[in-house]
Amino acid sequence: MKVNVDNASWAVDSKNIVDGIHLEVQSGEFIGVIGPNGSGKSSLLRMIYRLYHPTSGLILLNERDIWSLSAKEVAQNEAVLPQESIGDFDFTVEEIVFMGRTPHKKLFDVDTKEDDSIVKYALSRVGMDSFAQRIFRTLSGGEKQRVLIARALAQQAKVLILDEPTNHLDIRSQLEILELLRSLQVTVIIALHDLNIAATYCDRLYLLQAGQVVAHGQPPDVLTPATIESVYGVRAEVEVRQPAGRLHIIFHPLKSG
Amino acid sequence: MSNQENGNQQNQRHTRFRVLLFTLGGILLLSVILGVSLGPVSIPIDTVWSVITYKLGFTPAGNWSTGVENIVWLIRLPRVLLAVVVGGGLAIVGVTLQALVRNPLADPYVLGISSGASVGAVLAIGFGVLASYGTLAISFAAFLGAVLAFLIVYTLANLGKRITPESLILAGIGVGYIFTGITSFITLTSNKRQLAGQVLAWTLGSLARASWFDLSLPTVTLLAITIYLVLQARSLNALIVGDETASVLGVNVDIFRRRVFTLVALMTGVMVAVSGSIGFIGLMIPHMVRFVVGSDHRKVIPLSLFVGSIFLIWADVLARGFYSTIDNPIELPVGVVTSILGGPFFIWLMVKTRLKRKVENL
Repeated sequence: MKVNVDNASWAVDSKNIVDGIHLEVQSGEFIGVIGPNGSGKSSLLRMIYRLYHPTSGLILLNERDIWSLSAKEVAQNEAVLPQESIGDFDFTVEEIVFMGRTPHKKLFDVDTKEDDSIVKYALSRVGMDSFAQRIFRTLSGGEKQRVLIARALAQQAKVLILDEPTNHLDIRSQLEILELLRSLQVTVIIALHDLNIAATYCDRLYLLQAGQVVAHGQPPDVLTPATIESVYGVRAEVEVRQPAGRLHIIFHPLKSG
Repeated sequence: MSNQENGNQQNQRHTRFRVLLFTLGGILLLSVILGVSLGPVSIPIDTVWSVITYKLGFTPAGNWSTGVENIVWLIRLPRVLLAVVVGGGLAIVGVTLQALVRNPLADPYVLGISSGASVGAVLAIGFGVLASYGTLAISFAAFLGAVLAFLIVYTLANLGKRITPESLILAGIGVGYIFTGITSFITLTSNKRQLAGQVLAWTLGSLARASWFDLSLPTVTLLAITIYLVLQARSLNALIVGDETASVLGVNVDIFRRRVFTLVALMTGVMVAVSGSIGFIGLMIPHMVRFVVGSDHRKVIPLSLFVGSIFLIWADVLARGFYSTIDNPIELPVGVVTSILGGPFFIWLMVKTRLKRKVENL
């Protein structure tokens, strides 16, 4: 399942929040979208998951304009973890994961044995099988994200889009979520704040600034000290740690000489 | 926990839902019979049952008087069935509205529809508007008022080209205040002395005017809209979690919210037109049901229908009971009973929510 963003812009009051972005994702890739607060990451993702209609340009899902498809058809192919908290009403973990079956259901369809096993399998893949009957609201941040990933798996979509899923999580939970996502063998588009995590887990990165892509490519090509300083206004050193060749970014305090 | 245990738990929960549904169905049937039996003239349960089966053509006539037959068939049964329809209808409107605006405190009257109906009713009661419709004048005028209020709320909520929970609630409350003000103004500036009391009694709600004819439109409305909502229960589940979640699960949120809002406003208008603004059922029943089965609308909608019906039957029995013991020609409006029971429930809910939050913050 390929995703293409073709010169897409999204404007509010004729101010471009996303400004002529090109982005291309091949099947199976793990793509990170990075950039400072307000650089347009969430808006870009919302265009990709058909919430915002581009003011100009196109979003293509397997070469087809996403707005020529119904919300349901898109939901069968793209699963999303939005930055949205779950409201005041209590659902069990299992009920939340069952919601992932929604786009596959017609008006008179009931839950089948197959749905049951899809939901169970999704919960076991994220290691949350024993939480099925717990109330979602009472879970920890990391557990909640795992359940929402299980919901995405129950959706059986080929593309998974996540908007900063590791916010507010402790470092171990962050790594667990990223490693879980890497193990899923689906196409992933993920917005991230932590540049070290983005460098460690993503195949390719798109770096956004003021709604535009200022750099894209493999992490070592995007995350250079010069680019980080010009986009974030922070001086940084980038080391390549052997033997794995992992990128390690060290930031300097703003006031150090 | 093994998968099999999990599966068993799930089956147990489905079984529990079915048991609840059948139990409530049984209680509802029993309540209807008892509701007809109880009153100033007490009628034995077996007589009630025999008259009903005779009237439905299943059994031959028995040796009861015409008076008893008329009380059962023409007075009490329509009234009890109206309680079933209105109680169930208001509960379902409450469930749906709480999902639609994602607010546990929403009730059928938060959208201003009932305030519009009151203006129609006060015009009919006080000034004979639509008097050519005879006994239906008040209901018809109230329904027109409800439709007018709905059109205004819809237009206002839609000013941003997208109906959001906030725009719906704010437009509804605003319009509600205006219409309530108009009702009060008309009532207080009228030189008809009894108008205030009559209007107050109407607003608080009563099932006393029930007839078989009054039942037809509310029943059809309730059945049609309930079936639609049960079929859309998955979308309501997604919507109560969040607009964005619903969107990414394939729900066309804007269209869905418009459609469901229109349907529940219609149902509110119909229920209020035949019974006034009976309070608290739409607010309290959905919460009672959610405490027991959680928030899945596939369970909450059918169970709320039954619980709402049963609750209003008994509230109305109590309301009639006061009439029979107090030497007063004005029957106690059923809305007074539901409110007196509903108020403490509301406070309990508030305290419980606070305590829960406190525990979570520890």
